Amino acid sequence: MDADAQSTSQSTTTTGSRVDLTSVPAVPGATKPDPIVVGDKITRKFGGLTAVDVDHIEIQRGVITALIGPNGAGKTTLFNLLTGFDNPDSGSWSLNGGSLQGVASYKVARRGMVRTFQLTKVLAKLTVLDNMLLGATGQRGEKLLSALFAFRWRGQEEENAARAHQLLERFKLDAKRDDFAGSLSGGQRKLLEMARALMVDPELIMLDEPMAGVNPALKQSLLGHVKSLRDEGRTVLFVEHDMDMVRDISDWVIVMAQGKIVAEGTPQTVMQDPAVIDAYLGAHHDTDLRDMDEDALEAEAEAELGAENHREATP
Amino acid sequence: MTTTPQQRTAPVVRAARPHPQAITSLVLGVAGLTLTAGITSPFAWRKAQQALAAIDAAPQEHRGRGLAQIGRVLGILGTVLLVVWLVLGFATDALPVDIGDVFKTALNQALGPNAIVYALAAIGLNIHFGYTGLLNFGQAGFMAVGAYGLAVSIVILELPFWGGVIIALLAPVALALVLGFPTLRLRADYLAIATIAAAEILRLAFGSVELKDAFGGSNGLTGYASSYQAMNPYADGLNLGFVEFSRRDLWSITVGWTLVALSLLLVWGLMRSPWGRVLRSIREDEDAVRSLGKNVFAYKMQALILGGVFGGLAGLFLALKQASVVPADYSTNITFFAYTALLIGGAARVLGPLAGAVIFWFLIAGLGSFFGQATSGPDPLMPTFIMDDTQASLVRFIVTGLGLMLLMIFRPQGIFGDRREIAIDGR
Repeated sequence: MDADAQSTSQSTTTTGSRVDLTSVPAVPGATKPDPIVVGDKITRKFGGLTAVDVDHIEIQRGVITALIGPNGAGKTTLFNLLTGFDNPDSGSWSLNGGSLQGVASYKVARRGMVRTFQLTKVLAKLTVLDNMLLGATGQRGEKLLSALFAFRWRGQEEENAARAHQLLERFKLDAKRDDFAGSLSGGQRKLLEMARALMVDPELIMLDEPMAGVNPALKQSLLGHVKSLRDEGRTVLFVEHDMDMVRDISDWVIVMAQGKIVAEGTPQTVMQDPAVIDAYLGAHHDTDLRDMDEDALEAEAEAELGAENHREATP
Repeated sequence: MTTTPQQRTAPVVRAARPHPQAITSLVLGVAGLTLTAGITSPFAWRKAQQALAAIDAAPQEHRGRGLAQIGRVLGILGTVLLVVWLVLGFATDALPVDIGDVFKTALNQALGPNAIVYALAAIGLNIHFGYTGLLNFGQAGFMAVGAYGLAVSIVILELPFWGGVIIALLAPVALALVLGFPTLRLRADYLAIATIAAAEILRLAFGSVELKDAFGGSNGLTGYASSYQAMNPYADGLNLGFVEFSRRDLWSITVGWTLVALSLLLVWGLMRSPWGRVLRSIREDEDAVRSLGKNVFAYKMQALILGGVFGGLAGLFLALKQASVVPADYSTNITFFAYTALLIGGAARVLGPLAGAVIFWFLIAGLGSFFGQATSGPDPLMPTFIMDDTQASLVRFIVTGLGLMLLMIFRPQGIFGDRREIAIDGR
């Protein structure tokens, strides 16, 4: 990857020129002005369960897109499919117009689409600095034949270490640089994973639940870090349950439920969408159950059950 | 141990437990008076002192003072016993065991060709298991193809000596490719199963009657080492008093330790490089490495090949030093002894396999010689109800196994390992 060319292209993309998504219709599978990822008819079945059944998805370049949905909605599975960590049963998807169908996960990363994991995967018995250095791309010393000759890679290694140190400073991990990554706290691991992904210098960074298990104080700084990724011109796609975070930082929200995209839109529109509220929070999320008429509730429940039975009877 | 204000005001809530070193000293003390003939007793004594000091410094936090005291008494007794039999053994003929001879045998083996074979095999396993996390349980197979590669190409195909050496080093590459392609994309367990099965298949195939023409059956092949022996520059053997090598062994250990030194240099050079960093990262979490754009499969394959070539080198050296290739030499035992050597020395440490192989052979040969002498003769030192001379050669493995267990409990990182790395696992 040509890091110089990329960083100049990033510097031209500023916050001000960020695409205005208010004109994009808030419908599932909406067409974006400048999509970086386009996916069509992606399905993934685990036995009888259809985990992902996405008809059309587009991720806008240069903005923060949130992927939300209840547990089991297929968000992480979709992540795995897009990044090549899992193979779909059908479908096609592309990054920057180039098809990613059947492309191995490491090649997806090399093309500029790097992910983090829901359960952080730091390399516990390597130091924080070594974790970071692993992320650097195009290392001469990673080839078996030149690895033996330190003069072939020492210079590059020092450049990478300098860049790693800058990133560690930005993520406030520079004091931990020589500690084993396994000694970091859960929140620090999230930070390290994000910083390590940045060593690859990705165009699109995919964060799988970046806030899970992070204490509120660290959450604020993590939010800032995610925003700063966008502000330096990267595209961010993240899975999250924390609605405050989604409202706070995302430019666009895609809602999944039972493997399908059920809604899309700006955070404001999506949060008001009754379909989303029902799917995500349940129909009675904002009513106190004590205030409700028990008979009416029962009747409603029975009606729902009846409808379900009816559906089952007529497949 | 730090005391927070909370702990000072309230009585310690958690149940006080015996100090761990108190238990250690007790175990070592008992072992010293029984199985290890006093060798562990000084350590028991020392551990007991440490435990007592720690308990007295914070009496409310630890129990187990009694255990530590018993450990100390046993340790002192065992140490006295150790000194007595060492003095008797070295200085006088009062014992029917010649301790000087035991040490000489042990040292001869620790520095001799056998230790070299295991050191080379363990260097390969260190790349596989220690650095990359590949579970290769078939190092015997890599050794066998190395050894047979040499013997077959010289004896049957009548190639020149160096041609045989090249084939011996290419054969493990081929085996690694065959084993690696189907299994390296799968979980680590599959490689373990495939390698141990392949090693057994190879051993049985090399020894089979049907392939006797090519591999010599269970008698194996001989008559390929003459050019190797002809290169021997030594006119005589070496006798330094505490070690003694024949002319042939002297040549073998010269070649062998040179090979070990070069191999260690290569491993050191590779493992400090970014390439080595990728391998260690794969050991920790291959999905993370994949997500950063590294071709994990290719790296695992390179590691499997490189470690396999060291295995082949071990087989090649074994074939050269004993001038015959017999299938029985390449049984699964040899793989696990090489693993033992690796774990004693410390996995993922450059010098681990070397130290481990030397210590392993020192113990095996020393204990074997000791128990052999102690059970032989008309009036053996060891009462026959404990063991007789036919059991003596097996007891050394029991004792070595016990020692390995103690090592895993008290120093799981091996001799050269880093305790902090193990602590991360225990989180």
